[in-house]
Amino acid sequence: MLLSAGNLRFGYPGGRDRIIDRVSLDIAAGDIVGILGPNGSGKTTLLRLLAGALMPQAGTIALDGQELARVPRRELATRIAVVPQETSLAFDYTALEIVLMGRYPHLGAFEIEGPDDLAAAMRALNATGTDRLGDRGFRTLSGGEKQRVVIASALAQLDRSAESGAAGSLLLLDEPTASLDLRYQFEVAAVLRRLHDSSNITIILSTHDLRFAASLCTRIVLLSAGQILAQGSPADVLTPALVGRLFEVAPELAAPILASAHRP
Amino acid sequence: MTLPLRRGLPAVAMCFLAMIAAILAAPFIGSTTIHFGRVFSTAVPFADNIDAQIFFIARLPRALAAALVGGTLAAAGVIFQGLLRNPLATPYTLGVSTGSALGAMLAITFGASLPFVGITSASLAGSLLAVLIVYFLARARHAGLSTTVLLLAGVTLNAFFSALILFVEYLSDFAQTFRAIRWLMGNLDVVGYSSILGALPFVVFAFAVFAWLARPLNLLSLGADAAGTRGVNVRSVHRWAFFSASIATGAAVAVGGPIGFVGIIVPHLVRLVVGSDHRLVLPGSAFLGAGFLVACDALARIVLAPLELPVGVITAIIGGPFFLWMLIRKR
Repeated sequence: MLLSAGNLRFGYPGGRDRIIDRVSLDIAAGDIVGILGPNGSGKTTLLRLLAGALMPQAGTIALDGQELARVPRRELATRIAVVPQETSLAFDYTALEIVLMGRYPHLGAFEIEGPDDLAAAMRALNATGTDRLGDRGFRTLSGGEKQRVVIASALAQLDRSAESGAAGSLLLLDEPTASLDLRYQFEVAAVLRRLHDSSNITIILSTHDLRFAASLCTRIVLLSAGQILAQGSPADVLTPALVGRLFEVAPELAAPILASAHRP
Repeated sequence: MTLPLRRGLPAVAMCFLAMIAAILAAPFIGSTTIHFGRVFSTAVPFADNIDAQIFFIARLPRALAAALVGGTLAAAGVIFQGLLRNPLATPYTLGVSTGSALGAMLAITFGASLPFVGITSASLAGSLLAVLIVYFLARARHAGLSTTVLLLAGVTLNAFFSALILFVEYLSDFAQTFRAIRWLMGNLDVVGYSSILGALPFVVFAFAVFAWLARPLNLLSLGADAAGTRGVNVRSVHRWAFFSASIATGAAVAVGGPIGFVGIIVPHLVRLVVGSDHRLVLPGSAFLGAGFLVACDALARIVLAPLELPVGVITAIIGGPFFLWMLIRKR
């Protein structure tokens, strides 16, 4: 298993509730895993735990069998990259500068980006179709363009060499389309699918969009109030009964939405 | 495609040249005219060479002090801005300069017997105290400090420390009060080489840390979480940034008093030219900040010549409206 989580438990200090409760999850290389659930079900927290950005209060997470907490910070950053739901900058950088920031874990403390880093950044810009945006200020970009530039930054971060690229690494995306117009949702979905097909990168994304999850993911995890309701292939999991329970609606109401989601 | 970093280098070099030009030109400006030829003339012994004495004893140390203070305050401003993710954060607006001034005031008033080192360390202690307050404020609201909270915290800290400064003044005698008030206005009048040398080790230390912080601060601009998942040790960067910027502020205030607005005007102008990469903004701001304060001090010496204005008055007259303009433009 590339990434496996066993019996995870997490609650924010001072908070009453367990946000993540007894979650076990195995992610194989090449999967596109969709964590599906209503708002507040713990999707973002689960992603942050899987990325090593939060420490679970109980349970284990292992990357290639090695406990996540034991992997050095920089090394971990070259294996797991995170794309947040939205990125707002304190200062304006160009798209290329943002992508080059992904090279941070590959450089020493006072080292400056070299030709290899620039090449990795260009590969990432190409892979996300943002190569013409390199010199544009990030703040001047549309929502979809911003999201693709941040994905490019994550790819540059995972890019270990021109040959191996980002293979064997994980891209985690938190609600990648939630704040985007429909057109940009399709753009981002297309970029992710292309990435997966060309580089065999493993993708974990959280979403509450059934249609998006059904069209993209090879595996679906249903998360409800911090617990896993069901997991498996989209066909097995996206049933009216389960989805109805997940979003607390009657199965009759869930059925038509699912019907449209399953349509190619 | 070239690295974006390279494209900013000529602008940083220009800032450096501006600083050198200001330091060389400023000593020739003042109420008494001195001549270049006579200053460096070897025909007259130094003891009889009035021009050389004015240049080397009065004006050159003053220009160097202005450069040191200006460069340090501007660089500390860049660090605070990157750290708090807010272009309006500066040692002055955060209340750190005033905290530092309170420390120095206590040393001036109650520690008359202490040598200069006493003022420096008291000033460092004051800025560290103020920064600790800001640090815990920022941590208590882990989302980072919004402009509103930041400005309110700064106003509150400034008012608090100013009240304590007034209290200290109330307890001191007339001569001390006069000296203290001149100093509080931001004044490079009385500094000699010794005060520069006293502050230098702290400034050098702070700049060494700044150099390391430049790249992590770029990533912090994306947010603490995003920086963390890219391999930045966010907590350690936060701590070192707060610590080094307060050391820098304390050292600068010990030399020149709480001179305001340098840390906000200069980094903003530099960003307009080089973009936001801290590896360019930081050296650019240090150089331009040095040149800027040297120029302001030269201006302070000639507007009402032969009277000399405290340089803090000049920077405030330029910086106040500039700050308001930035505040209006931001929203």
